[in-house]
Order: sequence, then structure tokens, then C-alpha cells
Amino acid sequence: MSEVIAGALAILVAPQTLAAVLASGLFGLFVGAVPGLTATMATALLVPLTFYMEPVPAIAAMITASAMAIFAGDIPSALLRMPGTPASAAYTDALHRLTRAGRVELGLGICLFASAVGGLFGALVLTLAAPALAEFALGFSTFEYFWLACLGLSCAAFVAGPRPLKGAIALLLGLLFSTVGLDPVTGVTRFTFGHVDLVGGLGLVPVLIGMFALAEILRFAATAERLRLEGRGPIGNVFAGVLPLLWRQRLAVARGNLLGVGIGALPGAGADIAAWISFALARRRAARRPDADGEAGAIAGGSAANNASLAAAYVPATVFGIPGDSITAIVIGVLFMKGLTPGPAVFLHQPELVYAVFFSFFLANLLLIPLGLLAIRLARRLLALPREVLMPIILLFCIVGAFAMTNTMFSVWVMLVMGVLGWLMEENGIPVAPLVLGLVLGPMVQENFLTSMMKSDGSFLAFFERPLAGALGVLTIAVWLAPLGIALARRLRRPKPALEA
Amino acid sequence: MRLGDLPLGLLVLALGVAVWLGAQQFPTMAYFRYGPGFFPGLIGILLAACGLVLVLQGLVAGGRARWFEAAPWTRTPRHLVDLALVAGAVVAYALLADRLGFLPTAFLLLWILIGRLWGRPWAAAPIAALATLLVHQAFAELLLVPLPWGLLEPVSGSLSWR
Repeated sequence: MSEVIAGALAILVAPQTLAAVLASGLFGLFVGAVPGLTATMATALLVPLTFYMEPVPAIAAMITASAMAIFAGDIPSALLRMPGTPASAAYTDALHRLTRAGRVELGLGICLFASAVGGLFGALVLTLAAPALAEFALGFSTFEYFWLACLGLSCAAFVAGPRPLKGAIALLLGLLFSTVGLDPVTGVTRFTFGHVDLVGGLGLVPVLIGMFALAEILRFAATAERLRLEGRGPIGNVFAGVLPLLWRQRLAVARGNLLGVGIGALPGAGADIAAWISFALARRRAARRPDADGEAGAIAGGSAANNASLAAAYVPATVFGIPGDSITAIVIGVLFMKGLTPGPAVFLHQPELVYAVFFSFFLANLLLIPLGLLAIRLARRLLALPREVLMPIILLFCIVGAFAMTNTMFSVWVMLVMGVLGWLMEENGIPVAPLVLGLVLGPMVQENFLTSMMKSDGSFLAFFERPLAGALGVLTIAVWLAPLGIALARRLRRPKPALEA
Repeated sequence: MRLGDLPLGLLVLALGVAVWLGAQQFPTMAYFRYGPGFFPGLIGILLAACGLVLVLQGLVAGGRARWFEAAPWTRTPRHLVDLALVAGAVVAYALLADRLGFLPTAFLLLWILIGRLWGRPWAAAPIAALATLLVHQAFAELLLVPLPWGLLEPVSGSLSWR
């Protein structure tokens, strides 16, 4: 065990890894601090660059960038009343109220330290829970994996938005896109329409960049308004009074940590939902027991929850290869491209690799404090950069990034189509994240289904014969039926008020 | 541009049916029931089912749910032009980059986009030039992505470090 840890640390402190972590950390802070650029976008924009890196620096870079971006999203919340990333949206108003009250240092200090604490707690849970779960998962066969993938996809579709039906449509679109090209089982080309470039599939990178980056730029072009900075003057010492306040509010922070980890580990629910739930619960508590800094505690809880959920999302991602949110979906896609299949076997054969990835979470969240302080100091200058200048440059980055994977203009076209589609989907209330999860997991669902069918001579019942597979199958079907049950319950309850009226 | 449940459902329904029909065209395997068409066929059926439910929900909601709701940006010409420019820039790059080369194409597109969005066309030129050179350095020189030289092919040797 100690050899494994030493090996993992050796990979992590290699100059190439440290340089990648530092550079991507600065990149993540920048992307997170600019409203309209999300943590998912930071990760997607890194993908073409990770193509040229070793696996561990590549993953460490994406982890650092996303962790930094989630914190940095709090900075424009405080100064502009505009969340830098959707994960900060829950407590943007509360944070901005602190700024208006002249306590901007306190607000940002709370966010910085609570984020680091949440991230470290998430990393700790990941490091302790994932290996134990992996040992358990070694006994899984294709039947269990089929159900797990179905369960992950269904949860993703149902928690992604207010209307599960629209999430399901997005998911099916993603699965459909994953079938384009050569069928890995039978070698038949599907949905290529005689186009040679489509034989290899749509390609994950142009789809990711289109859906998560180009779509955001299009939305910016459609809605852009000039931003106005709140308050003036330099931001002072963010340390003053923060640590005692966090200690008084330690329960709120702890609740945020636990909620973040629990929600993050659920497939499909990510940092945004963790922050919303944690903040809402803390607010309700504070309302019941009036407390001078109850609102600050609620902000700390939300800020800790979104960073904690980021790490916890890697539990299902590394153990089962099932992404917990759209960022881990991207990371899994990158691992596939590097010829690594996430799953319990990696824990067995390349434990150093797994632990190096886990340790990079600790590194990222420790780095968050110095780099975050730097970002807070530079915040006003950073936010003064006009987005009207940044967006076109990011557009060029998207074009070149999509091109770089295949060196064909075809990828640029795919990115454009996916960007427009992603933007139109969001406009119409269809979430994009389930589509990307479907695209990444599609081949896994299909291969496990077909292999299981070959093993069982084409009998569907085999999917329920093994006890674990049966339990997972029942659970999956329960998730499918849940929306119907909820709708039915609502219908049964509705007539009552109608009669009274 | 926001579609109501009814038209959106019809769209998804049509897509599902088309996918299912497409999946029927795939060859079947002699000894195996689940050929290449099985999965796409299943996806098609599920898509059609989702579309159908959406159509029904749209019908139940009745008069209140309109077919089509125009988003705010459709009423402001500025936003419409901006949108067309962003999407058009990608199209223009895909069509022109091989002929003109990366450097001139990227510079022109950035200049036009930044100048238009920012409203300061002259200040935009040096920024566009600098950004183009930086992206070129990072991708073509550092990561060895073969960005097209186009018109600059004859002088590419003197423009590259390699």
C-alpha cells in the first residue's frame, strides 16, 4: 500500500504534472471568474490539449481547472451579482448582499476557505470510498454493468431539469449519436449516409466543444448585456474574521460537505444541484434560529457543497466508469481516448494511477487558497476585461480545438452543428448534460447488452438471474416508473381542492 | 425561439420514426437476433414514445400552450446580427481556412467579431492580431497541429520556428 502511495506521489510531483496543474489552475480561475464561461466549458476546452499529455497530468489538469472554476464562479457573484458558473447561482444574491453591505472581503473569504474545505473533504471521501467500492465491483459481470449504465443514464435524465421527459429526450439523442459510425460488435456502418468522415463516429471532442463552449458563445451573442461592477476600490484582507466565522458556522459547513458528497456521487446530479440544496436547507435552518451570521453560514455551506460534489462525482466515474456529472463525463471520454477503461480493474492493475488522480484533488484544493487569493486580488481587473473581446477569442479556440483532434475540417462542422443544437436545446428547456452522458455511455450500454445476450443465448431473463444484477435491474425499472407514479399521485390528489371550489 | 410542447413533440416523434425506419435497413445477422439495427431501432421507438407523450401533454395543455414563442433576442436586430456573425464565423473558417490559410482567416474573423461585439473596430485590430498569433503559436508550433498555411504557404518557412 505504501509503495502504491509513494508511486502515486512520484507521478504527481513530476515536473510535467505540476506544470500542467499550475497552468490549468490559472486557466480554471480565469474561466470560472468570467460570467458565461462555466467549469464544464473549462474542462471541455482543455480536452484538445490533454490529447498531448500523459494520462495523469491530463486528468490532474482537468480536475484542477474544474475545482478552481467552481470557486472562481463566486467572485463575479459577489462583485457583479452574476454567477461565474451555474454552481454559484444558488447563493449569488446572498453573497452580493454582503458586498453591498461593505463586507466583500468577508464574503469572498468565506467562499475561498469553504470551497477548499469542501474540496478536501470530497477528496478524502473519494480516496477512502472508491477503493473499497472497487473491490466490491470486481465481482460485477456484463449484466451488472448494463444495469449500472442504465441506472446512471436514467438518473441523469431525471435530475437534469424540471421536466424528466425532456431529459429523457436529450439522453436518447446522445445514445443515438453514439451509434453513428462503425458498430464495434458487428462491424456494420450505421447512420453515415455514405459519408466517409462519419465512419469513425461523430467524435467526442467536437461534440463536447460544440455543446459546452460554442453553445455558450451563441447564448452570449443572443443575450449579451453590458456588466456593471459593484463597489469600488481594492479588495482588502480576506483573512480578517473569516476563520472564526467559519468555525462558528462549522455545522453549516459540515452539512454542506456531506450534502455535496452525497449529491455529487449520484449520477447526473452535480455541483449546481448540490449548492442549491445545501444553501436552501441552511437558509431554512437560519430562519428558524435567527443568527447574526446565519446567511454567511448558508453561503459557506453552499460554497463547500459545490466543491465537495466535484470530487465525489469521481466515485462512480472511477469505480464503475459511470460519470456523476458532465465534467466527469468529459474526463471518462478522455480516458477512453487514451485507451484506459475506468473501472475496478484499473484499481487492481494500475493503483498508482488511480491514487495519483485522487491525490491531485488534494493538490488542487490546497493550491486553491494561494491561487484563489491571487484571483480575488486581481478580480476587478479580471472582470473589467470585456467579454465582447473574450468570446470571439474563445470561439477561435473552439475551432482550432475541434480541428486539432482529427486535423480535418469535418470536426469543425460537427462542432458547429452540435453548438447550434446545444443552444437550441437549452433555449427549449432540454438539458444538454444527459446528451453528453448518453454519448459517452452509449457504447458501454450496447456492448454490455450484446455480450450479455450472447452469454445467455438471447434470454432476457438472464438480466435478473444474478442477485446483484436483479436488484440493480429492479432499481432501474423503479427509477423509470417513478415519474409515472408521481404524476399519478398528483392526479389522485388534485380532485379534492376542485370539489371544495 | 421556443417551441411549444406540441410542435416539439411532433419533431421528436418524426425523428424517432425516421431512426426506427433507418434501423430496419441494417443487415440482420444469421444466428443472432440482436444485429446492428437492434439498438438504433430501440432508440427510435423510445424517442417516438417520448415525442408522443410530449404531443399529448401539449394537447392536454390546450389553448394556453402556444405553438411558438419568440424569445427576446428575436426582436432585437443587434442580437440577431451577433448570432448570425458567431455562427457565420465558424462556417467562414471551415470554408476559407484551407484556401486563405489560418493566419489571415483567423485574424479577419476575430477583427470583424471583436470589432462588432465590442463596438471599437480600430482597437479590435491589434487584439485580433495578437490573439491569432498566440493561438497559432500554441497549436501549430507547440502542439504541432497542422493548421493550414493557405496563401502563406510559400513563406511558411520563415514564419515558423520549426
